[in-house]
Amino acid sequence: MSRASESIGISPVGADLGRWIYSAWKHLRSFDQQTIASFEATSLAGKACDLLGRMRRLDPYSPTALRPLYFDAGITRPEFNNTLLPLLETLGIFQVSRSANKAVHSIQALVLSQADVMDQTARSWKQLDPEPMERGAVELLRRTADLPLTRDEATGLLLNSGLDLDEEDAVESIELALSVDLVRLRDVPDIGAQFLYNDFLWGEHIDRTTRALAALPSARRTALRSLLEELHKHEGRPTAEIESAAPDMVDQAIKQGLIDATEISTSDGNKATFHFTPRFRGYGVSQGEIPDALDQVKLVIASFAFSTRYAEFRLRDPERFLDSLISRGYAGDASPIGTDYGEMEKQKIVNVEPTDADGTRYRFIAVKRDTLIEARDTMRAGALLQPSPHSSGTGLLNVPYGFTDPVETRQRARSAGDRPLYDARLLAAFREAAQQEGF
Amino acid sequence: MTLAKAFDQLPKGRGWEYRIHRAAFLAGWFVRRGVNLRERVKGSPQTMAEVDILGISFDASLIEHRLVGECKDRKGNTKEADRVVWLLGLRSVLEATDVLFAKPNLSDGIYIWAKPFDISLWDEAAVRRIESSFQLPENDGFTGSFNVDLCEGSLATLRDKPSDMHLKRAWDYLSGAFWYSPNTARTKRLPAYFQTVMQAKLAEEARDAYVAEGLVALLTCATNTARNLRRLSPARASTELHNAFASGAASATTLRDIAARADAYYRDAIAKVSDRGRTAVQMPRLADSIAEPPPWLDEYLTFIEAVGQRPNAATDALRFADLFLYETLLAGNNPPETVLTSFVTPTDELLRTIRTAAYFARRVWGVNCALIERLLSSPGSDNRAEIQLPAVENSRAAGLPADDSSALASTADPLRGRN
Repeated sequence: MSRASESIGISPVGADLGRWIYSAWKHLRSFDQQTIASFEATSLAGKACDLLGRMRRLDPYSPTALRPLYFDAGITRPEFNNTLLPLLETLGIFQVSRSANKAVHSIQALVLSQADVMDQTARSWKQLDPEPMERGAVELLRRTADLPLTRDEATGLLLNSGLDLDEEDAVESIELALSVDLVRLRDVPDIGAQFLYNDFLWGEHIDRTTRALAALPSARRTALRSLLEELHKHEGRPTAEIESAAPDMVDQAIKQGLIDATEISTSDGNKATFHFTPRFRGYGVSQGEIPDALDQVKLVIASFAFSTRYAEFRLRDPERFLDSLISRGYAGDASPIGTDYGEMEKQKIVNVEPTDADGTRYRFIAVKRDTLIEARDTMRAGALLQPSPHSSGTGLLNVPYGFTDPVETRQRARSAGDRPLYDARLLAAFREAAQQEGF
Repeated sequence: MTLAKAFDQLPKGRGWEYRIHRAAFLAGWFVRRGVNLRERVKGSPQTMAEVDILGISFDASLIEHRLVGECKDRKGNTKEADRVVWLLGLRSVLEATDVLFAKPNLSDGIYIWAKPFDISLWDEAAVRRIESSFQLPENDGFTGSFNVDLCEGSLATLRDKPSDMHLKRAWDYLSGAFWYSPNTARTKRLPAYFQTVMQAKLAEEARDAYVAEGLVALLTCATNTARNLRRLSPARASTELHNAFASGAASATTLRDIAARADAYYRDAIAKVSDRGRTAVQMPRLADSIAEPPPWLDEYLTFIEAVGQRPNAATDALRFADLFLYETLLAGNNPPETVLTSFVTPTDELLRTIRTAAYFARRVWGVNCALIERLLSSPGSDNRAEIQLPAVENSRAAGLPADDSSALASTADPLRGRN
């Protein structure tokens, strides 16, 4: 049976694996090539996932139009031409039109939804034939998101994971994951053991996290709970508008992995941070299978929140703007839309086209309408679409051009070197909460 | 057996139907031949009539035009008016926009009598003119779903009278009522058709034959749905489609209202008979579970947005699907060059649409068979020799700008070196 025949139906298991591969890649991409040499398949599949996420919606791209997208996804031209293009074409994910001299004329990514992107990412990763310890490290990331594990437990799980790993492979997998902080090791004196855990631990099981918070000192517990509640109601809230916790507490929560932060920066040096609960799906959004793993909904929310609050030319009526973009398919008539190559355009959530003959004013064309709708509904529920009290009223939109996802934001926050407080106590409490569920 | 021989061995009337099918196809229609009008009578479906020729085309607004045609081969002018009257009735029943009466020799009277009814009247000369303009002889060059050898030979054996009753019913529907049913209703039945085909015990060739027609049907549904999306603003159209797919003919809102009343009634009754205030009864609400759109609707909307992007290519896409699936994949022949000239849209663009439909069917509805595998196999894969994929004809393809793509030449399969 051919490779293509393995792709019948969008597999939830495959989609879940793809999500972990992409999450691993988001973490690994901040390291130098030499450090992550053992994650070759994960790196390539992660980049492919990023590109497929941009290309979903079945639009064909000419090689020229595709080039900035794959560059932005961290893919070099030889890497694309010699590895990813033939790989994705062979797997039936890319549909490639060629002219008579075999030159590529257009490329269409046959991916229909975010779940499809993730499942195809998993297929690509498997075809790239990762080494046993690389397979084990990604599996360990997935397993430690369910529960903090001792080394022995982790070894046992890897041996029984169906990945065909022997004990040596399992031990190497753990060491490999630890070497790049894909999982972390922490002493937990309350239990008298060392535990492996990862940043996704808190986001995968909100209920357990909430119960685990009970182990913290009451003032801290109350503040963190209030912070999570506030952000659940107001996904995307910027630092300055968070009411329930002091900035240092917010910073600690980011480092600990209890909340996610994204950063928007512009060419003129403006910068702002926006916060989300880790299991963000979009408030009131019914799509349950895959959270915003590609960070595209977060990007739209952060971009519009930035434009209403921090941009040089602020957006006057963002709700009407987004409604128009969604219902009419286009919105805007402003110079800054065209002058900055917005991150939303790089992710192909919108396209930009001129509105006048001189090419001085531009508008957005909706591409990923589903993402825009999820973002609008989330922002509406959280009152993020209310005009900024400090709006300049010019009606112009300064498109954010830089976006930092939650994984990178957390890495940066930790790079200062300080260790988050209460990690050990929280881990012990989380584990206890999980064990209670078992009875 | 050569095609000419196969055609020559057909009964005269059947041969005439093939010629009319081909001529209508070359004239720009996507055509189905011998469509049964089936209705449920006292609980069981019955064939009420047969339509010789049912054609479909889409204009630039994706509005569907429907052709009904009747083929007669007898000499003389008896029954000509009868047939025209029958066609006029059929036009009304099937909401057809165009009517065709085809007979080798037509009387002067029928031209005069039928003139006010705006009917196309084709005699032997009219059909020959179409055939000649594509350099096709009258008894050869039948291809796609009018490939005589294929339809009278292997397809007839593979599809006719299946022993599996579920498959028989599914095929009766797809080859009959599907073509004139309301679009939402028929789209919702397509996954069940494919599921039946996938579950039936069939030889590979037979499954391919059923799936090929299912893919053409899927494209027909998608094009019609794409038209609905274009009638309203995108957000409103999307809401209406969700409602339509949630409930079929009834209004989803009305259904949910009725369900909510039922919920209130039963909850009140349960509360009265239970120990008041002490027992919290946990039961799902009917209003929450009724009138839900199918789980595949979001992926389907993505697919139809892609299908609807080039409305001018919609009819060509259907016609090319017919040609490619039947002639190339089922019969194993390259479509004749003369017939390919009847397509305005570059064929690689049309092929892309067909492959997208196949991808949707496989990924979302779980359809798989040798035909889909061959269709989706990349040019670089092992199946390359089996399918001749047309190269890009010019830069009009895909509406893409010409660019410096020569640097991106076809490359080797990176996986081969690993194994």
